[in-house]
Amino acid sequence: MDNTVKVTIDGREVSVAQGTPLIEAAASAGIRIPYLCYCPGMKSVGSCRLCVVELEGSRTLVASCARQAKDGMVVRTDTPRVEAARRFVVDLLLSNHPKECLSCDKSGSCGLQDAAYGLGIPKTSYPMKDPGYPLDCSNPFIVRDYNLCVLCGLCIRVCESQSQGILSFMSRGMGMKVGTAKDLPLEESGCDFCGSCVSVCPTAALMEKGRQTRGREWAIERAASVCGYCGCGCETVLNRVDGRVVRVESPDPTAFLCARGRFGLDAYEHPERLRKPLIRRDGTLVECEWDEALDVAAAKLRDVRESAGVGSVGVILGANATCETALALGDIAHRALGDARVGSSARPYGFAVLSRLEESFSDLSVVATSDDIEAASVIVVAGADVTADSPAVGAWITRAQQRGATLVALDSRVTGVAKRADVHLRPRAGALGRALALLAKALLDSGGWDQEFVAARTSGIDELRSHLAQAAGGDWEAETGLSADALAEVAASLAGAKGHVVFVVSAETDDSAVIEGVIDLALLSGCAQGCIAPTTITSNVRGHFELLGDEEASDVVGSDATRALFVWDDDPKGRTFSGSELSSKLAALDALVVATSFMSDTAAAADVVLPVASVAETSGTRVSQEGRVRRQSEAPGTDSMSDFEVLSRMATGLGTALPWDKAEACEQAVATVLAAHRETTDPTSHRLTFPAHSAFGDVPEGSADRPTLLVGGTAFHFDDGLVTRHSALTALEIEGDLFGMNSEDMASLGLVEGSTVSVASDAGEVDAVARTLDSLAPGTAFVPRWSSNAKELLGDDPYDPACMPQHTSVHVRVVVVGTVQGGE
Amino acid sequence: MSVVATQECAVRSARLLVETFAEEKMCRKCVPCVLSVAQITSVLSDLSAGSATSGDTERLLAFCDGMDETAMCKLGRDVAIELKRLLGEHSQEFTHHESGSCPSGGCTSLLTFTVVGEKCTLCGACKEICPAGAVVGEKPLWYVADSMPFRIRADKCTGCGLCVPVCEPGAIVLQIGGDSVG
Repeated sequence: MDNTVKVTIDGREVSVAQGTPLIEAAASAGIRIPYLCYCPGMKSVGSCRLCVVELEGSRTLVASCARQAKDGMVVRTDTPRVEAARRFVVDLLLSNHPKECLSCDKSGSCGLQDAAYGLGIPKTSYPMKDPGYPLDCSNPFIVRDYNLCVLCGLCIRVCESQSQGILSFMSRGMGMKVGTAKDLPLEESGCDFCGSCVSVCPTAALMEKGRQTRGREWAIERAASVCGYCGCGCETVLNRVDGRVVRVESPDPTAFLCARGRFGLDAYEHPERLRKPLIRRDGTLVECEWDEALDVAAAKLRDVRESAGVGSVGVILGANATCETALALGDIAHRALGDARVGSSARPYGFAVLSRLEESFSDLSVVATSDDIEAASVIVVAGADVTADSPAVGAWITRAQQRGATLVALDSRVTGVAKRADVHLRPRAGALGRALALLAKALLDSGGWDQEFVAARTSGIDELRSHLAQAAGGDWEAETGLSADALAEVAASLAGAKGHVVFVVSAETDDSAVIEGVIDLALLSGCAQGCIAPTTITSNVRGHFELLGDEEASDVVGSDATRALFVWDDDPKGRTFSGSELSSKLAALDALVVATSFMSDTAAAADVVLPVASVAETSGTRVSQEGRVRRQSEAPGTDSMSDFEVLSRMATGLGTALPWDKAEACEQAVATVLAAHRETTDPTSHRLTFPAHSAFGDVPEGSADRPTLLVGGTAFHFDDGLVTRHSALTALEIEGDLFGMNSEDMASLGLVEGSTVSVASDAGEVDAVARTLDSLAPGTAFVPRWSSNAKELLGDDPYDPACMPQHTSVHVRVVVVGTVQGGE
Repeated sequence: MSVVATQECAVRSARLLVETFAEEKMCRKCVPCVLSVAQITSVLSDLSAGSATSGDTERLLAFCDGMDETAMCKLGRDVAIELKRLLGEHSQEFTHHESGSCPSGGCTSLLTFTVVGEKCTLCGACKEICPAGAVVGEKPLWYVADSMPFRIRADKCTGCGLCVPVCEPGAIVLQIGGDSVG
């Protein structure tokens, strides 16, 4: 069926696809219609009335953004009637818009300014009606000046469609205003500061605080890049003035960026940002020039290798290092340092899950992309707190829901996603693996699984059956806390899914039963492509996995042979608890060279500290958790040295040279390796296998005084917080000594908000401040991942191959030893 | 409605129309309707408060036309058409308001009450009843040679008209647009 339609616009015949709004049909004929409330990719409402056109057969003017082209329509955009209507609207808007164009940051990219300019309206002909709304600029990122608002409602719609939906129109006498519930300031309204509202605002009613007075719009140079703050790997457009980033935009206004991605680069402007190398002289670190620092660093490492032999020098590759850095450091380790071992800190953040997926599906095409998630008909989020750890995934899920997807959450906590879920099953903390197994069993029992697919494409179904038979034996329903009916309901929605099913799971899950359960469910649902989304909290786990392979993961630091370390953009000491063996090992090294953006515990012990360029200052490649290869922009004119240059000079100092003469050549080498991973094989050519199942661990019994500890991410800090601690994001973040508990548990222990508690685990004992977190199930407690309390209580060595980062799962028993009534 | 109003004031009717619309019917879904209504309300209140300027009626007509053309739905267009009808039918009355008078007496701020000295018996009933304290003057006292005559201060008078019925000799008159009424 031909689905193009012909319309006549200003006498020109235009062919467009059915469903195209008239405004786009006109644009395709080169006819520009002004608008304010329209945004491609979002639902049109036609409220600003600026895009009105004459439509033959219609008595009234019609909004061209909201009217779809139909065959035979005759439209005029250039008549006096249309122009008069547009002038009327702009004139009215100008009468409500205090003229501040001279010093307005939006000047040059303002929708109202453009419309007034286009119609030649210098000022309003009506009496000025300054609404006199107070400015909301109390938060660190978004300035709201509703006196400049044109009531287009885009902020409301974008917040609704991909974020918290906290904005709405409210009546203000005769007028109207956008506001939060009770008109609270943003930081008290539940806003997660994704900034999508700022991104779509046509005027300066919503502006980035950090962008104010830092350059006119026309002075901004834009460069496509990628965010380095989590595995989502969102595309960004860096806005620079004189080489400095003044704003981070999304590639199109409705593409999601979270608070970290949009506002978090301010950390690199912090005074504590390392800009010059440091070298240890007479016991203290002092600034020096690059030449000297690189010479000394190379000499130190070379001396250890020559005196202590092969294997005496280890290299730690930070989890967020680019693929180029990984490749170059690998080359330095193998050639210049004579087979030094390289350990990627990205390993615990998802290598295990990725290799399990490869085992079962033979490649990683099973990993769901944002498109897969947005197009899904059923989404199951199993234990991943995506709103905190991978906010973009949360936005994709919200969009899928708006398209009618069913959202199922499996989590003991009421996470951000669980709040929006159609079904939220709350298995007991630590019982997620069992819950997924029960779900697989319910799906098998219901007969709603894809029997044809399983028979034709997979192997191991019999093993799965016998594995799940255990579930029938034990009293699992009591152990997981889930009823058979609830599970059957979810199984039925999986069985009845009209399209694609996507499982979202945390890639750093330490419970292998979780990923096994998810693979089982995916295969039973007949999915083999784009159906599992492992979320990673660091930005290049997938890149390191593809470049280094799982076997490279090693206990570089822990090895007794290691006498010297070259640590690239990581803080092993800061990541571990105070009494760890790792700390004493680091202290006993003969040479320690650390590259970092900020002074860290590890850097403080180093012989040489090299400043690392930020994600906005060096080119490079990252692979998002979805497997998309994304490039950072070049940053001409900044005073930091690019990763490639530093490593290239290190290699020279060590007596070799990198095999690539310039950064582009290294990028080419990376592209080749990554492309090899993306070679598509015929998906039907290989057999899919149900995973080998490990035994289920015990489900810990949590209680108020001995709660199960959940360590998780929070919305504003990234990873260990070393970078984001220097960002204004910190102002919005919860306290590091927070110890969150359910209000029932708080009450049963006699705790009030702000009480001081002493918390002990097998590993350590800390003081903390009790806070009510009713998102937690009774018998569980929460500590933020980046806090020192988390490290002390978990007592894990981040480089011990036996340990996972234990982010969203349960491991440590905590005893509330004493309670002191806090004064709040 | 003022106690002295002789007939329905067109400006008041217009205000009632637009304000009722804004409070009860306006959906606030399109920009021109919300902003036009705000502008129209402010012009109408200027007209009935005596702070109007010449050309306000023309401005109102322009808002009606614009609103009729650009409002998203029938509700907004209908109110614009109705207001335009009022403006057409009562154009003289609107013009009177532009120059600060309300022929029907409906706009209390535009009313002027005056004490006619010749008729006044100096009883003081008007001063007692005036809620705004706008009446000045004093009853004559036997030991005072002369007394201050009763007078209504225009700056304090709210135009409520309560003084008119209590004045037995009918010494208080209302002036509308230069003519004395009642």
